[in-house]
Amino acid sequence: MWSLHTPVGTVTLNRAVLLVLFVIALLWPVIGVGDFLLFLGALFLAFGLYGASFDLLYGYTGLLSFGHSVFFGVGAYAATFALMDYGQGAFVGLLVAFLATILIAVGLGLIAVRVKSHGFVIVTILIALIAQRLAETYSGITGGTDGIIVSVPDIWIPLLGEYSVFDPTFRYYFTLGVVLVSLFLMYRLVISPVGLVFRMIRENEQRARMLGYNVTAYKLIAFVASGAFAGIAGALATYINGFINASRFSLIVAGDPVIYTMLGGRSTIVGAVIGAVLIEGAGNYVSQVTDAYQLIVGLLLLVMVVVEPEGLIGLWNRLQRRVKRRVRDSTPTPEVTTDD
Amino acid sequence: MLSVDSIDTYYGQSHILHDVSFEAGTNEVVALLGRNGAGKTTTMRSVMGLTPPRTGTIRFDGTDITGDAPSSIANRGIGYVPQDRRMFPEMTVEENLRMGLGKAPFDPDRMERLFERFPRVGERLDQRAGTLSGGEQQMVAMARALMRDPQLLLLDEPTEGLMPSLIPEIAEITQAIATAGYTIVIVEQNVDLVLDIADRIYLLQNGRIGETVTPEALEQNDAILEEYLGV
Repeated sequence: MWSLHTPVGTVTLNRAVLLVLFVIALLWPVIGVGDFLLFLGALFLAFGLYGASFDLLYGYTGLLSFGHSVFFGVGAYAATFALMDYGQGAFVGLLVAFLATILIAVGLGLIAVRVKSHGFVIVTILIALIAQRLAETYSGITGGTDGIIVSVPDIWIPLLGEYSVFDPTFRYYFTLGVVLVSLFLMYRLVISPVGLVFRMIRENEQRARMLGYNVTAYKLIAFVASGAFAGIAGALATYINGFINASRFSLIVAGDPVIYTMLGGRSTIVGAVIGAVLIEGAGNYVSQVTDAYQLIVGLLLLVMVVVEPEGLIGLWNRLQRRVKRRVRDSTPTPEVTTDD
Repeated sequence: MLSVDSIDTYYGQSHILHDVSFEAGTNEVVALLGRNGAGKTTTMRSVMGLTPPRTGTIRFDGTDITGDAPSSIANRGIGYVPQDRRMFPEMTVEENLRMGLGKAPFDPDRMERLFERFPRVGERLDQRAGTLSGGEQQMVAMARALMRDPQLLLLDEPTEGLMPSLIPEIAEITQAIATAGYTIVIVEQNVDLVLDIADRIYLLQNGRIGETVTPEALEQNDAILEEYLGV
Protein backbone atom coordinates (compact mmCIF):
# COMPACT_ATOMS: atom_id res chain seq x y z
CA MET A 1 0.00 0.00 0.00
CA TRP A 2 0.99 3.65 -0.47
CA SER A 3 3.77 4.88 1.76
CA LEU A 4 6.25 7.72 1.68
CA HIS A 5 9.75 7.45 3.08
CA THR A 6 10.92 10.65 4.77
CA PRO A 7 14.01 11.45 6.83
CA VAL A 8 11.86 11.28 10.01
CA GLY A 9 10.19 7.99 9.16
CA THR A 10 7.75 6.24 6.86
CA VAL A 11 4.38 7.92 6.29
CA THR A 12 1.75 5.29 5.51
CA LEU A 13 -1.64 6.17 4.04
CA ASN A 14 -3.32 5.72 7.44
CA ARG A 15 -0.81 8.03 9.09
CA ALA A 16 -1.28 10.59 6.30
CA VAL A 17 -5.06 10.57 6.85
CA LEU A 18 -4.55 11.02 10.60
CA LEU A 19 -2.16 13.88 9.89
CA VAL A 20 -4.74 15.59 7.65
CA LEU A 21 -7.41 15.22 10.37
CA PHE A 22 -4.98 16.64 12.92
CA VAL A 23 -4.17 19.63 10.69
CA ILE A 24 -7.91 20.28 10.13
CA ALA A 25 -8.48 20.17 13.91
CA LEU A 26 -5.53 22.50 14.44
CA LEU A 27 -6.61 25.01 11.78
CA TRP A 28 -10.34 24.90 12.59
CA PRO A 29 -10.36 28.32 14.30
CA VAL A 30 -7.99 29.82 11.72
CA ILE A 31 -10.23 29.12 8.71
CA GLY A 32 -12.86 31.50 10.08
CA VAL A 33 -15.65 29.10 11.01
CA GLY A 34 -17.27 31.48 13.49
CA ASP A 35 -17.96 31.32 17.21
CA PHE A 36 -20.78 28.79 17.09
CA LEU A 37 -18.78 26.26 15.09
CA LEU A 38 -15.85 26.79 17.44
CA PHE A 39 -18.18 26.06 20.35
CA LEU A 40 -19.47 22.94 18.59
CA GLY A 41 -15.94 21.89 17.65
CA ALA A 42 -14.81 22.04 21.28
CA LEU A 43 -17.91 20.19 22.45
CA PHE A 44 -17.51 17.46 19.83
CA LEU A 45 -13.88 16.98 20.85
CA ALA A 46 -14.95 16.51 24.49
CA PHE A 47 -17.57 13.99 23.34
CA GLY A 48 -14.87 12.35 21.21
CA LEU A 49 -12.71 11.90 24.29
CA TYR A 50 -15.73 10.41 26.05
CA GLY A 51 -16.13 7.94 23.16
CA ALA A 52 -12.41 7.11 23.10
CA SER A 53 -12.46 6.41 26.85
CA PHE A 54 -15.28 3.93 26.25
CA ASP A 55 -13.32 2.35 23.38
CA LEU A 56 -10.39 1.84 25.76
CA LEU A 57 -12.64 -0.48 27.78
CA TYR A 58 -14.91 -2.03 25.16
CA GLY A 59 -12.61 -2.06 22.16
CA TYR A 60 -9.59 -3.46 23.97
CA THR A 61 -10.99 -5.72 26.71
CA GLY A 62 -14.41 -6.46 25.21
CA LEU A 63 -16.28 -5.21 28.30
CA LEU A 64 -19.47 -3.54 27.08
CA SER A 65 -20.34 -0.83 29.59
CA PHE A 66 -23.67 0.97 29.48
CA GLY A 67 -22.75 2.90 32.60
CA HIS A 68 -20.07 5.20 31.29
CA SER A 69 -22.31 8.20 31.95
CA VAL A 70 -21.52 7.69 35.65
CA PHE A 71 -17.88 8.60 35.04
CA PHE A 72 -18.81 11.39 32.66
CA GLY A 73 -21.14 12.78 35.35
CA VAL A 74 -18.80 12.22 38.31
CA GLY A 75 -15.97 13.99 36.47
CA ALA A 76 -18.27 16.86 35.55
CA TYR A 77 -19.57 17.31 39.10
CA ALA A 78 -16.17 16.84 40.73
CA ALA A 79 -14.70 19.61 38.57
CA THR A 80 -17.75 21.80 39.21
CA PHE A 81 -17.45 21.43 42.99
CA ALA A 82 -13.70 22.10 42.83
CA LEU A 83 -14.36 25.33 40.91
CA MET A 84 -17.54 26.58 42.53
CA ASP A 85 -17.19 25.42 46.16
CA TYR A 86 -13.43 25.41 46.63
CA GLY A 87 -12.42 28.23 44.29
CA GLN A 88 -9.94 26.12 42.35
CA GLY A 89 -8.77 26.77 38.79
CA ALA A 90 -9.69 24.86 35.62
CA PHE A 91 -6.57 22.64 35.62
CA VAL A 92 -7.08 21.65 39.26
CA GLY A 93 -10.71 20.99 38.35
CA LEU A 94 -9.58 18.56 35.64
CA LEU A 95 -7.19 16.87 38.07
CA VAL A 96 -9.94 16.55 40.69
CA ALA A 97 -12.27 15.12 38.01
CA PHE A 98 -9.58 12.60 37.05
CA LEU A 99 -8.86 11.52 40.64
CA ALA A 100 -12.48 11.47 41.82
CA THR A 101 -13.44 9.30 38.85
CA ILE A 102 -10.57 6.92 39.59
CA LEU A 103 -11.86 6.56 43.14
CA ILE A 104 -15.43 5.90 42.04
CA ALA A 105 -14.28 3.58 39.21
CA VAL A 106 -12.22 1.45 41.62
CA GLY A 107 -15.25 1.06 43.90
CA LEU A 108 -17.68 0.26 41.10
CA GLY A 109 -15.13 -1.79 39.17
CA LEU A 110 -14.53 -4.13 42.12
CA ILE A 111 -18.19 -5.10 41.79
CA ALA A 112 -18.65 -4.89 38.01
CA VAL A 113 -15.57 -6.68 36.63
CA ARG A 114 -16.23 -9.77 38.74
CA VAL A 115 -19.51 -10.27 36.92
CA LYS A 116 -19.12 -12.08 33.61
CA SER A 117 -20.58 -11.57 30.15
CA HIS A 118 -24.12 -10.14 30.05
CA GLY A 119 -24.07 -9.72 33.81
CA PHE A 120 -21.44 -6.99 33.39
CA VAL A 121 -23.68 -5.08 30.97
CA ILE A 122 -26.63 -5.32 33.36
CA VAL A 123 -24.56 -4.22 36.35
CA THR A 124 -23.30 -1.14 34.46
CA ILE A 125 -26.86 -0.22 33.41
CA LEU A 126 -27.99 -0.51 37.03
CA ILE A 127 -25.08 1.63 38.19
CA ALA A 128 -26.08 4.37 35.71
CA LEU A 129 -29.74 4.20 36.78
CA ILE A 130 -28.83 4.41 40.47
CA ALA A 131 -26.44 7.32 39.83
CA GLN A 132 -29.09 9.25 37.90
CA ARG A 133 -31.68 8.66 40.65
CA LEU A 134 -29.23 9.77 43.33
CA ALA A 135 -28.31 12.91 41.36
CA GLU A 136 -31.99 13.78 40.93
CA THR A 137 -32.85 13.03 44.55
CA TYR A 138 -30.03 15.08 46.06
CA SER A 139 -30.87 18.12 43.98
CA GLY A 140 -29.63 20.41 46.79
CA ILE A 141 -26.12 19.30 45.91
CA THR A 142 -26.39 18.47 42.21
CA GLY A 143 -28.99 21.00 41.07
CA GLY A 144 -31.17 18.06 39.98
CA THR A 145 -32.66 18.28 36.50
CA ASP A 146 -32.61 22.11 36.66
CA GLY A 147 -28.85 21.99 37.00
CA ILE A 148 -26.14 24.43 38.06
CA ILE A 149 -24.60 27.27 36.07
CA VAL A 150 -20.84 26.71 36.13
CA SER A 151 -18.56 29.70 36.03
CA VAL A 152 -15.05 28.76 34.94
CA PRO A 153 -12.34 31.15 36.16
CA ASP A 154 -9.78 32.50 33.71
CA ILE A 155 -7.07 30.02 32.86
CA TRP A 156 -3.43 30.92 33.19
CA ILE A 157 -1.18 29.23 30.63
CA PRO A 158 2.55 29.36 31.42
CA LEU A 159 4.47 31.70 29.06
CA LEU A 160 1.25 32.68 27.24
CA GLY A 161 -0.75 34.47 29.93
CA GLU A 162 -4.34 34.43 31.16
CA TYR A 163 -7.33 33.53 29.00
CA SER A 164 -11.07 33.33 29.47
CA VAL A 165 -13.03 30.22 28.49
CA PHE A 166 -15.60 32.59 27.07
CA ASP A 167 -13.08 33.29 24.32
CA PRO A 168 -14.23 30.71 21.71
CA THR A 169 -10.80 30.31 20.10
CA PHE A 170 -9.03 29.76 23.42
CA ARG A 171 -11.78 27.41 24.62
CA TYR A 172 -11.37 25.36 21.44
CA TYR A 173 -7.57 25.11 21.72
CA PHE A 174 -7.72 24.39 25.45
CA THR A 175 -10.12 21.48 24.76
CA LEU A 176 -8.06 20.28 21.81
CA GLY A 177 -4.89 20.29 23.95
CA VAL A 178 -6.47 18.32 26.81
CA VAL A 179 -8.10 15.87 24.39
CA LEU A 180 -4.87 15.27 22.45
CA VAL A 181 -2.84 14.66 25.62
CA SER A 182 -5.54 12.26 26.88
CA LEU A 183 -5.69 10.40 23.54
CA PHE A 184 -1.89 10.13 23.52
CA LEU A 185 -1.88 8.66 27.05
CA MET A 186 -4.61 6.18 26.14
CA TYR A 187 -2.71 5.21 22.99
CA ARG A 188 0.48 4.63 25.01
CA LEU A 189 -1.50 2.42 27.38
CA VAL A 190 -3.03 0.26 24.66
CA ILE A 191 0.30 -0.34 22.88
CA SER A 192 2.05 -1.18 26.17
CA PRO A 193 2.32 -4.77 27.51
CA VAL A 194 -0.70 -3.94 29.68
CA GLY A 195 -2.68 -3.11 26.53
CA LEU A 196 -1.61 -6.42 25.04
CA VAL A 197 -3.14 -8.20 28.04
CA PHE A 198 -6.35 -6.18 27.52
CA ARG A 199 -6.57 -7.53 23.98
CA MET A 200 -5.77 -11.02 25.16
CA ILE A 201 -8.68 -10.81 27.62
CA ARG A 202 -10.95 -9.64 24.80
CA GLU A 203 -9.97 -12.68 22.75
CA ASN A 204 -10.13 -15.31 25.48
CA GLU A 205 -10.19 -14.78 29.24
CA GLN A 206 -9.48 -18.34 30.21
CA ARG A 207 -6.41 -18.56 27.99
CA ALA A 208 -5.12 -15.38 29.60
CA ARG A 209 -5.56 -16.93 33.07
CA MET A 210 -3.85 -20.10 31.93
CA LEU A 211 -0.80 -18.06 30.89
CA GLY A 212 -0.50 -16.48 34.32
CA TYR A 213 -2.46 -13.24 34.07
CA ASN A 214 -4.79 -12.00 36.78
CA VAL A 215 -7.67 -11.20 34.46
CA THR A 216 -9.79 -9.50 37.12
CA ALA A 217 -6.95 -7.11 38.00
CA TYR A 218 -6.35 -6.18 34.35
CA LYS A 219 -10.07 -5.67 33.75
CA LEU A 220 -10.13 -3.37 36.76
CA ILE A 221 -7.17 -1.39 35.36
CA ALA A 222 -9.01 -0.97 32.04
CA PHE A 223 -12.25 -0.03 33.80
CA VAL A 224 -10.55 2.58 35.99
CA ALA A 225 -8.39 4.09 33.22
CA SER A 226 -11.39 4.25 30.93
CA GLY A 227 -13.50 5.85 33.67
CA ALA A 228 -10.82 8.41 34.52
CA PHE A 229 -10.64 9.70 30.94
CA ALA A 230 -14.45 9.76 30.73
CA GLY A 231 -14.29 11.92 33.88
CA ILE A 232 -11.97 14.39 32.14
CA ALA A 233 -14.34 14.45 29.16
CA GLY A 234 -17.24 15.24 31.51
CA ALA A 235 -15.30 18.08 33.12
CA LEU A 236 -14.36 19.50 29.70
CA ALA A 237 -17.97 19.34 28.47
CA THR A 238 -19.03 21.25 31.60
CA TYR A 239 -16.38 23.93 31.05
CA ILE A 240 -17.59 24.34 27.45
CA ASN A 241 -21.33 24.36 28.24
CA GLY A 242 -21.00 26.35 31.48
CA PHE A 243 -23.80 24.19 32.80
CA ILE A 244 -24.36 20.82 34.45
CA ASN A 245 -27.40 18.83 35.55
CA ALA A 246 -28.38 15.35 36.73
CA SER A 247 -29.12 14.14 33.20
CA ARG A 248 -25.35 13.72 32.70
CA PHE A 249 -25.87 10.34 34.38
CA SER A 250 -28.71 9.26 32.10
CA LEU A 251 -28.77 6.09 30.02
CA ILE A 252 -29.00 8.21 26.86
CA VAL A 253 -25.68 9.82 27.72
CA ALA A 254 -24.38 6.31 28.57
CA GLY A 255 -25.37 5.13 25.08
CA ASP A 256 -23.59 7.97 23.27
CA PRO A 257 -20.01 6.60 23.46
CA VAL A 258 -21.29 3.17 22.40
CA ILE A 259 -22.70 4.75 19.24
CA TYR A 260 -19.58 6.87 18.59
CA THR A 261 -17.40 3.78 18.84
CA MET A 262 -19.64 1.61 16.69
CA LEU A 263 -19.69 4.23 13.95
CA GLY A 264 -16.01 5.15 14.07
CA GLY A 265 -14.57 1.69 14.67
CA ARG A 266 -13.56 -0.10 17.82
CA SER A 267 -10.05 -0.82 19.12
CA THR A 268 -8.71 2.29 17.44
CA ILE A 269 -9.14 5.10 20.07
CA VAL A 270 -9.31 7.70 17.29
CA GLY A 271 -12.31 5.98 15.64
CA ALA A 272 -14.60 7.00 18.50
CA VAL A 273 -13.49 10.64 18.12
CA ILE A 274 -14.33 10.55 14.41
CA GLY A 275 -17.64 8.85 15.27
CA ALA A 276 -18.49 11.54 17.85
CA VAL A 277 -17.75 14.41 15.46
CA LEU A 278 -19.83 12.81 12.67
CA ILE A 279 -22.79 11.83 14.87
CA GLU A 280 -22.99 15.11 16.76
CA GLY A 281 -22.25 17.11 13.59
CA ALA A 282 -24.89 15.24 11.60
CA GLY A 283 -27.39 15.59 14.44
CA ASN A 284 -26.77 19.32 14.53
CA TYR A 285 -27.16 19.86 10.79
CA VAL A 286 -29.95 17.39 10.04
CA SER A 287 -32.01 18.84 12.90
CA GLN A 288 -32.00 22.18 11.04
CA VAL A 289 -33.54 20.48 8.00
CA THR A 290 -36.09 18.12 9.56
CA ASP A 291 -37.53 17.23 12.94
CA ALA A 292 -37.04 13.56 12.11
CA TYR A 293 -33.26 13.93 12.38
CA GLN A 294 -32.94 11.33 15.13
CA LEU A 295 -34.74 8.81 12.94
CA ILE A 296 -32.47 9.56 9.97
CA VAL A 297 -29.26 9.41 12.00
CA GLY A 298 -30.54 6.25 13.70
CA LEU A 299 -31.24 4.56 10.35
CA LEU A 300 -27.80 5.51 9.03
CA LEU A 301 -26.26 3.97 12.13
CA LEU A 302 -28.29 0.81 11.73
CA VAL A 303 -27.13 0.43 8.13
CA MET A 304 -23.54 1.04 9.25
CA VAL A 305 -23.65 -1.60 11.99
CA VAL A 306 -25.18 -4.18 9.63
CA VAL A 307 -22.91 -3.43 6.65
CA GLU A 308 -19.65 -2.90 8.54
CA PRO A 309 -19.60 -3.91 12.23
CA GLU A 310 -16.03 -2.62 12.51
CA GLY A 311 -17.21 0.93 11.76
CA LEU A 312 -15.80 3.52 9.40
CA ILE A 313 -12.21 2.55 10.09
CA GLY A 314 -13.12 -1.06 9.35
CA LEU A 315 -14.70 0.11 6.08
CA TRP A 316 -11.58 2.10 5.25
CA ASN A 317 -9.35 -0.92 5.94
CA ARG A 318 -11.57 -3.13 3.82
CA LEU A 319 -11.41 -0.61 0.97
CA GLN A 320 -7.61 -0.50 1.19
CA ARG A 321 -7.42 -4.30 1.07
CA ARG A 322 -9.69 -4.37 -1.99
CA VAL A 323 -7.60 -1.76 -3.85
CA LYS A 324 -4.44 -3.64 -2.92
CA ARG A 325 -5.91 -6.86 -4.28
CA ARG A 326 -7.03 -5.15 -7.52
CA VAL A 327 -3.58 -3.62 -8.04
CA ARG A 328 -1.93 -6.97 -7.39
CA ASP A 329 -4.31 -8.83 -9.75
CA SER A 330 -3.95 -6.27 -12.55
CA THR A 331 -0.15 -6.20 -12.38
CA PRO A 332 1.03 -8.33 -15.32
CA THR A 333 3.39 -11.11 -14.36
CA PRO A 334 6.77 -10.59 -16.05
CA GLU A 335 7.31 -12.73 -19.11
CA VAL A 336 10.00 -15.30 -18.82
CA THR A 337 12.39 -15.26 -21.74
CA THR A 338 14.98 -17.82 -22.41
CA ASP A 339 18.13 -17.55 -24.44
CA ASP A 340 18.16 -20.54 -26.69
CA MET B 1 8.82 -31.49 41.58
CA LEU B 2 5.14 -32.25 40.90
CA SER B 3 3.21 -34.49 43.21
CA VAL B 4 -0.45 -35.24 42.58
CA ASP B 5 -2.00 -37.09 45.48
CA SER B 6 -5.43 -38.77 45.36
CA ILE B 7 -7.29 -36.06 43.45
CA ASP B 8 -10.96 -36.28 42.56
CA THR B 9 -12.18 -33.86 39.92
CA TYR B 10 -15.72 -33.20 38.74
CA TYR B 11 -17.38 -31.38 35.85
CA GLY B 12 -20.55 -30.26 37.57
CA GLN B 13 -22.14 -33.46 38.87
CA SER B 14 -19.95 -35.73 36.70
CA HIS B 15 -17.16 -37.41 38.59
CA ILE B 16 -14.25 -37.47 36.10
CA LEU B 17 -11.05 -38.23 38.04
CA HIS B 18 -11.10 -40.86 40.77
CA ASP B 19 -8.27 -40.92 43.30
CA VAL B 20 -5.62 -40.01 40.72
CA SER B 21 -2.03 -39.92 41.98
CA PHE B 22 1.23 -39.51 40.10
CA GLU B 23 4.59 -37.81 40.42
CA ALA B 24 7.14 -36.10 38.19
CA GLY B 25 10.65 -35.61 39.60
CA THR B 26 13.16 -32.99 38.45
CA ASN B 27 14.19 -33.50 34.80
CA GLU B 28 11.85 -36.45 34.47
CA VAL B 29 9.53 -36.96 31.52
CA VAL B 30 6.30 -38.51 32.67
CA ALA B 31 3.51 -39.54 30.31
CA LEU B 32 -0.19 -40.06 30.84
CA LEU B 33 -1.63 -42.52 28.36
CA GLY B 34 -5.18 -43.64 27.84
CA ARG B 35 -8.05 -43.72 25.39
CA ASN B 36 -10.24 -40.74 24.60
CA GLY B 37 -12.28 -39.78 27.64
CA ALA B 38 -9.90 -41.49 30.09
CA GLY B 39 -9.33 -38.22 31.95
CA LYS B 40 -5.88 -37.18 30.65
CA THR B 41 -6.77 -33.59 29.74
CA THR B 42 -8.84 -33.21 32.93
CA THR B 43 -5.74 -34.22 34.90
CA MET B 44 -3.73 -31.46 33.17
CA ARG B 45 -6.50 -28.94 33.76
CA SER B 46 -6.64 -29.96 37.42
CA VAL B 47 -2.91 -29.34 37.83
CA MET B 48 -3.27 -25.90 36.16
CA GLY B 49 -6.21 -24.99 38.39
CA LEU B 50 -8.56 -24.65 35.41
CA THR B 51 -10.73 -27.47 36.77
CA PRO B 52 -9.62 -27.67 40.41
CA PRO B 53 -10.02 -31.03 42.18
CA ARG B 54 -12.60 -31.28 44.95
CA THR B 55 -10.44 -33.55 47.07
CA GLY B 56 -6.77 -34.53 47.18
CA THR B 57 -3.67 -32.34 46.94
CA ILE B 58 -1.37 -31.11 44.20
CA ARG B 59 2.11 -30.04 45.28
CA PHE B 60 4.65 -28.22 43.17
CA ASP B 61 8.16 -27.93 44.56
CA GLY B 62 6.76 -28.91 47.95
CA THR B 63 4.09 -26.18 47.99
CA ASP B 64 0.41 -27.09 48.04
CA ILE B 65 -1.11 -25.42 44.95
CA THR B 66 -4.48 -27.18 45.11
CA GLY B 67 -7.25 -24.71 44.39
CA ASP B 68 -4.89 -21.83 43.56
CA ALA B 69 -5.87 -19.52 40.70
CA PRO B 70 -4.56 -20.65 37.27
CA SER B 71 -2.63 -17.36 36.96
CA SER B 72 -0.87 -17.98 40.26
CA ILE B 73 -0.04 -21.58 39.29
CA ALA B 74 1.36 -20.49 35.91
CA ASN B 75 3.48 -17.81 37.57
CA ARG B 76 5.09 -20.43 39.82
CA GLY B 77 6.86 -21.69 36.70
CA ILE B 78 4.49 -24.16 35.09
CA GLY B 79 4.18 -23.84 31.32
CA TYR B 80 1.08 -25.33 29.76
CA VAL B 81 0.66 -26.26 26.10
CA PRO B 82 -3.04 -27.07 25.93
CA GLN B 83 -4.84 -29.36 23.56
CA ASP B 84 -5.86 -27.51 20.33
CA ARG B 85 -3.00 -25.00 20.86
CA ARG B 86 -5.36 -22.24 22.13
CA MET B 87 -3.81 -19.35 20.25
CA PHE B 88 -5.01 -15.77 20.33
CA PRO B 89 -5.90 -15.86 16.63
CA GLU B 90 -6.32 -12.12 16.08
CA MET B 91 -2.94 -11.31 17.62
CA THR B 92 0.41 -11.67 15.88
CA VAL B 93 2.80 -14.53 16.54
CA GLU B 94 5.13 -12.16 18.39
CA GLU B 95 2.29 -10.92 20.60
CA ASN B 96 1.27 -14.51 21.33
CA LEU B 97 4.85 -15.29 22.35
CA ARG B 98 5.16 -12.23 24.58
CA MET B 99 1.94 -13.24 26.30
CA GLY B 100 3.72 -16.38 27.44
CA LEU B 101 5.94 -14.30 29.71
CA GLY B 102 3.37 -13.74 32.44
CA LYS B 103 5.21 -11.84 35.18
CA ALA B 104 8.64 -12.90 33.90
CA PRO B 105 10.85 -10.18 32.37
CA PHE B 106 11.39 -10.15 28.60
CA ASP B 107 14.74 -11.63 27.58
CA PRO B 108 15.59 -11.07 23.87
CA ASP B 109 18.41 -13.66 24.02
CA ARG B 110 15.98 -16.26 25.25
CA MET B 111 13.65 -15.42 22.36
CA GLU B 112 16.51 -15.81 19.88
CA ARG B 113 17.38 -19.20 21.36
CA LEU B 114 13.74 -20.22 20.99
CA PHE B 115 13.86 -19.28 17.30
CA GLU B 116 16.81 -21.65 16.88
CA ARG B 117 14.57 -24.40 18.18
CA PHE B 118 11.51 -23.14 16.26
CA PRO B 119 12.87 -21.43 13.12
CA ARG B 120 9.43 -21.29 11.48
CA VAL B 121 8.08 -19.30 14.41
CA GLY B 122 10.86 -16.72 14.01
CA GLU B 123 9.95 -16.30 10.33
CA ARG B 124 6.30 -15.53 11.05
CA LEU B 125 6.48 -13.05 13.90
CA ASP B 126 4.27 -10.43 12.22
CA GLN B 127 1.69 -12.89 10.96
CA ARG B 128 -1.68 -13.24 12.68
CA ALA B 129 -1.61 -16.48 14.68
CA GLY B 130 -5.03 -17.50 13.36
CA THR B 131 -3.65 -17.70 9.82
CA LEU B 132 -0.95 -20.26 10.70
CA SER B 133 -1.26 -23.95 9.92
CA GLY B 134 -1.99 -26.41 12.74
CA GLY B 135 1.65 -27.47 12.97
CA GLU B 136 2.90 -23.89 13.07
CA GLN B 137 0.35 -23.04 15.75
CA GLN B 138 1.59 -26.00 17.77
CA MET B 139 5.14 -24.66 17.51
CA VAL B 140 3.98 -21.20 18.64
CA ALA B 141 2.10 -22.76 21.57
CA MET B 142 5.22 -24.67 22.62
CA ALA B 143 7.48 -21.64 22.18
CA ARG B 144 4.99 -19.52 24.16
CA ALA B 145 5.11 -21.98 27.06
CA LEU B 146 8.93 -21.91 26.99
CA MET B 147 9.13 -18.10 26.94
CA ARG B 148 9.43 -17.86 30.72
CA ASP B 149 11.75 -20.88 30.98
CA PRO B 150 9.35 -22.94 33.09
CA GLN B 151 10.46 -25.50 35.63
CA LEU B 152 7.67 -27.83 34.60
CA LEU B 153 6.07 -28.19 31.18
CA LEU B 154 2.64 -29.73 30.66
CA LEU B 155 2.14 -30.88 27.07
CA ASP B 156 -1.36 -31.94 26.12
CA GLU B 157 -1.43 -33.98 22.90
CA PRO B 158 1.19 -32.02 20.94
CA THR B 159 0.72 -34.09 17.77
CA GLU B 160 -3.07 -34.25 17.85
CA GLY B 161 -4.92 -33.01 14.78
CA LEU B 162 -1.75 -32.36 12.78
CA MET B 163 -1.14 -33.35 9.16
CA PRO B 164 0.67 -36.73 9.25
CA SER B 165 3.65 -35.15 7.45
CA LEU B 166 4.12 -32.68 10.31
CA ILE B 167 3.98 -35.18 13.16
CA PRO B 168 7.67 -36.23 12.91
CA GLU B 169 8.78 -32.57 13.10
CA ILE B 170 6.69 -31.85 16.19
CA ALA B 171 7.77 -35.18 17.70
CA GLU B 172 11.39 -34.25 17.08
CA ILE B 173 10.95 -30.85 18.76
CA THR B 174 9.19 -32.48 21.71
CA GLN B 175 12.05 -34.91 22.00
CA ALA B 176 14.58 -32.08 21.87
CA ILE B 177 12.75 -30.20 24.64
CA ALA B 178 12.67 -33.37 26.73
CA THR B 179 16.40 -33.93 26.36
CA ALA B 180 17.08 -30.25 27.15
CA GLY B 181 16.40 -31.00 30.80
CA TYR B 182 12.85 -29.78 31.36
CA THR B 183 10.54 -31.65 33.68
CA ILE B 184 7.67 -32.68 31.46
CA VAL B 185 4.26 -34.21 31.92
CA ILE B 186 2.96 -35.24 28.52
CA VAL B 187 -0.41 -36.49 27.42
CA GLU B 188 -0.19 -38.13 24.00
CA GLN B 189 -1.95 -40.70 21.84
CA ASN B 190 1.16 -41.19 19.72
CA VAL B 191 2.55 -44.18 21.61
CA ASP B 192 5.83 -44.26 19.68
CA LEU B 193 6.65 -40.69 20.71
CA VAL B 194 5.87 -41.44 24.36
CA LEU B 195 7.93 -44.63 24.34
CA ASP B 196 10.88 -42.65 22.97
CA ILE B 197 10.90 -39.83 25.52
CA ALA B 198 9.14 -40.91 28.73
CA ASP B 199 10.90 -42.11 31.88
CA ARG B 200 7.65 -43.39 33.35
CA ILE B 201 4.14 -43.93 32.00
CA TYR B 202 0.88 -43.77 33.90
CA LEU B 203 -2.00 -45.54 32.21
CA LEU B 204 -5.42 -44.04 32.73
CA GLN B 205 -8.77 -45.70 32.32
CA ASN B 206 -12.16 -44.20 33.17
CA GLY B 207 -10.58 -41.49 35.27
CA ARG B 208 -8.40 -43.84 37.30
CA ILE B 209 -4.70 -44.63 37.16
CA GLY B 210 -4.58 -48.32 36.33
CA GLU B 211 -0.90 -49.09 35.87
CA THR B 212 2.46 -47.39 36.19
CA VAL B 213 5.02 -48.78 33.77
CA THR B 214 8.35 -48.03 32.17
CA PRO B 215 8.45 -47.56 28.37
CA GLU B 216 10.42 -50.79 28.03
CA ALA B 217 7.83 -52.75 29.98
CA LEU B 218 5.00 -51.23 28.01
CA GLU B 219 6.66 -52.00 24.71
CA GLN B 220 6.86 -55.66 25.59
CA ASN B 221 3.36 -55.97 26.98
CA ASP B 222 0.78 -56.17 24.23
CA ALA B 223 -1.97 -56.98 26.69
CA ILE B 224 -1.61 -53.63 28.50
CA LEU B 225 -1.42 -51.76 25.21
CA GLU B 226 -4.60 -53.47 24.07
CA GLU B 227 -6.40 -52.88 27.37
CA TYR B 228 -5.56 -49.23 27.86
CA LEU B 229 -5.03 -47.96 24.34
CA GLY B 230 -6.70 -50.46 22.06
CA VAL B 231 -3.58 -50.87 19.92
